[in-house]
Amino acid sequence: MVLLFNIIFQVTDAISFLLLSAVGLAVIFGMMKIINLAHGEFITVGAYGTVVTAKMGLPLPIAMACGVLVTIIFGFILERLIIRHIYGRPLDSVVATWGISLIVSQSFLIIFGPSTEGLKSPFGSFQVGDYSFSEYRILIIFISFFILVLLYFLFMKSKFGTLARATIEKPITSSALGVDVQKVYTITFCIGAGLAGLTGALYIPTMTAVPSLGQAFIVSAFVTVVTAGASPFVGLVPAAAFLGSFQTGITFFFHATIGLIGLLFAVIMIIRFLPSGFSGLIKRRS
Amino acid sequence: MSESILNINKIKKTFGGFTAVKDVDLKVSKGEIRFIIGPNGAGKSTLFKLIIGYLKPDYGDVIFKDEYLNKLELHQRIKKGIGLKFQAPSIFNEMTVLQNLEIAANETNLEKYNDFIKLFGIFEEKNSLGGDLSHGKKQWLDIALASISNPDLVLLDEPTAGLSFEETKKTGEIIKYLNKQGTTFLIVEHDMEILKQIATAVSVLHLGALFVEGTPESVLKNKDVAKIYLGAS
Amino acid sequence: MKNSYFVKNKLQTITFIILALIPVFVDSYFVNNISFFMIWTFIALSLSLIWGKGGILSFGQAAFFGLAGYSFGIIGINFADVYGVGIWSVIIALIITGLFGLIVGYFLFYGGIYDVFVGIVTLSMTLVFETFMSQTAGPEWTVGIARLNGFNGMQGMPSIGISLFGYNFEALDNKGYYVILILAILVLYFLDKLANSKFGLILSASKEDRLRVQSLGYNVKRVHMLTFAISAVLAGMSGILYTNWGGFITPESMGLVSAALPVVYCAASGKNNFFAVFLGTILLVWISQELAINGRQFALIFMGLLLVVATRYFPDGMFLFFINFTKKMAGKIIGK
Repeated sequence: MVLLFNIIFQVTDAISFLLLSAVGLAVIFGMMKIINLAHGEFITVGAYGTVVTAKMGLPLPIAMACGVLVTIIFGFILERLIIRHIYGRPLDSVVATWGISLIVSQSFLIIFGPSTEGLKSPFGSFQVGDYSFSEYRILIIFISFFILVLLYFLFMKSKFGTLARATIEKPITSSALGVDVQKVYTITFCIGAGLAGLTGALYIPTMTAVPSLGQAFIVSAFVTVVTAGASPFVGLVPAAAFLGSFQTGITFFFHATIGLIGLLFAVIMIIRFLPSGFSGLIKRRS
Repeated sequence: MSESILNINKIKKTFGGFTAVKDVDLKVSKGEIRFIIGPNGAGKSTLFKLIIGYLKPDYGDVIFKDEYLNKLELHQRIKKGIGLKFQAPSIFNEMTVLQNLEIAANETNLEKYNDFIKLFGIFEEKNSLGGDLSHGKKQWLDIALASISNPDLVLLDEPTAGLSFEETKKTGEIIKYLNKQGTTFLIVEHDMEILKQIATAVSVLHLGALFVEGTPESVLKNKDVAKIYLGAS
Repeated sequence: MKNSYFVKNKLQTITFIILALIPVFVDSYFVNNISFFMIWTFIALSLSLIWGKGGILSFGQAAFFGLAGYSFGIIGINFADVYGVGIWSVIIALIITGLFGLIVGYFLFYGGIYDVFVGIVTLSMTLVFETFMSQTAGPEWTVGIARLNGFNGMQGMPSIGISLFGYNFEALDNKGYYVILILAILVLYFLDKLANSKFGLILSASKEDRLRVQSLGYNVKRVHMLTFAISAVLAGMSGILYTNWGGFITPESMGLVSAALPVVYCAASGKNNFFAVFLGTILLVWISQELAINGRQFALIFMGLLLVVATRYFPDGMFLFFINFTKKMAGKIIGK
């Protein structure tokens, strides 16, 4: 019974980690087919934004909001300067965003140094049998699903969401119907950045603040988005569920490093045998 | 009965719940200029892709010169003696006309093809980049690419798309000339003028199935054919 | 000989002559530096082949770099006393790398994996290598008598040397400089021949329209697989020379940053032009070494900036832009 609870916790913890890692990337990739290799850096910006403002005395939730805000602004600047000039060039977007990633991560190293004193994880922990679980991480699990629900309503039910989805499908037609396509892209990019910033803000109390912290998320993010397939909105949850269970299973039997390798192998196999990802699988059935 | 060069047996293709091509039997004889026509959504493009191996059928056979092509991939089918041209002009824009033809002919010395190139009206532009050609000449180059290696059967998907009346007529003449040299043609088309000009046989597709077949005259006179084009199915 | 590579490409030939004469005028410290810079040209050229000519962005070059380096080291350490090991370890390491490139290429292209997904799969492959090698620290991780040594890397391999008529070449002096220079010239000659051959024509055409090339009867997957294998060997050459240079190889050579470097060299130089990539890489490694004196971060920020600026403003490469500009100016001066 205790073991079962432990397993359920590990799996949902892994799934929500994958979901939160991926959601910002998924929004940007799903909308504009831009592969944002600077995604990890967005997470880092959100994390550091939170740490800096928290150290200034702001309560943690406000500090997190600040972290998200900083990331949105950062995303906005990037979009205007660079991203909007490389729409429709997927290979070039990989190269350019990789460059951005290098610049940002190394700049953080210069500005903040190799490590900064982090934040303490709020709340405490509780015991179930021999295992202790962090209450905060359970809160994160709930928040992650809440975010998904929020995004669902934003993109499926709101006016912006309808405009956004029309623009993904047929940008030229939408433009001809009077939609400011550039504005939709900019807003979407900022949403993606903000979500990544939120991930950083949420997880930083559980990690040490190092400039390369984004890297911990980026592999998971890409693996999940690729597995989700062409329609990230459809495939994201199944992808995270599958990969989270798979990774937890491997980690359980071996250890975390092998878990990561297992994840990478999983994505290679998925690309090979299921090129449209999970969203392709779901669409084919319906 | 003249010798059959292409035989399509009971070929079927579905996408999800939608049947694009259902149990089509088609036989093309050597030396024909066969046209495949039909309203939009009739399944012409799908049939074309099934013949060349771009799509795999749910079942059915594609037989070329008495050989089953079912297990062969696109490039392997081409090697058996098929030339093809897709709907949108897909020449190599970044290469010269000569380089384009070198690739298609699999030879670097194209001296002996000079007359062939002149036939297509692109001899003057042989050192120009493909991307610099007019739309009409791009289509002709594309057809030239399909035919230069002297295949037994050439498949053309809407070769006159975007061509003027004069250009369409010239395209017809080119095809007729090559046909006289022994090449069989299977052409998916919308343009009725070129059909009247060169077709020797016509197959009409409708809603994925073979609707009617016959000589160009009989098909053009057929009232039912006119009806399916006007929307009454 | 009128159509010879060297006659046709005057700028290249002049550059080679200049490079050959440098050791005469310059002290050995500087010469060694240029040797080091040239070591990186092979991996950059490997990416230029598969990406610039082939249109396939691979992040796997670093994996082949590491694979070749580690193979070279393992063989060298295990057979240190065998006559000619300096050369044999190189040849076998390259064969291993080439075979691996062939297998990965088969898996990718015959599996229908193209475009962005090649990047993701090859990057994953590279990271898997790095992750795996990083945790080989324990004494149980040995191949023969060669310890893999995890994060700190493997060392202690014998350096490349051949006894030719009793004369020994060591790669760490002026003779080493010439060995690397000659290798570079041979590779550039080979690549030029390849690009102008029928194989090269099919490769370039496939970059533009894969389906059309297939519809003209060519097995494009095979062409891509072979190109990928050749590029793997080229990347491996850098790996071996690098390992030989410092006497060690670490998993970091297969990390995210290492995987990015060839992309920077190619994107900034002009990935479509082998000679531009050759010169551009030498220049860039030199600049980044100078920048790194104040801290590696500055060198990497510079690299990042190059990537962004090159993609945004100079999609054909900045160095190529510079070369063409120079040619135009030279032409004007000579009065063509």
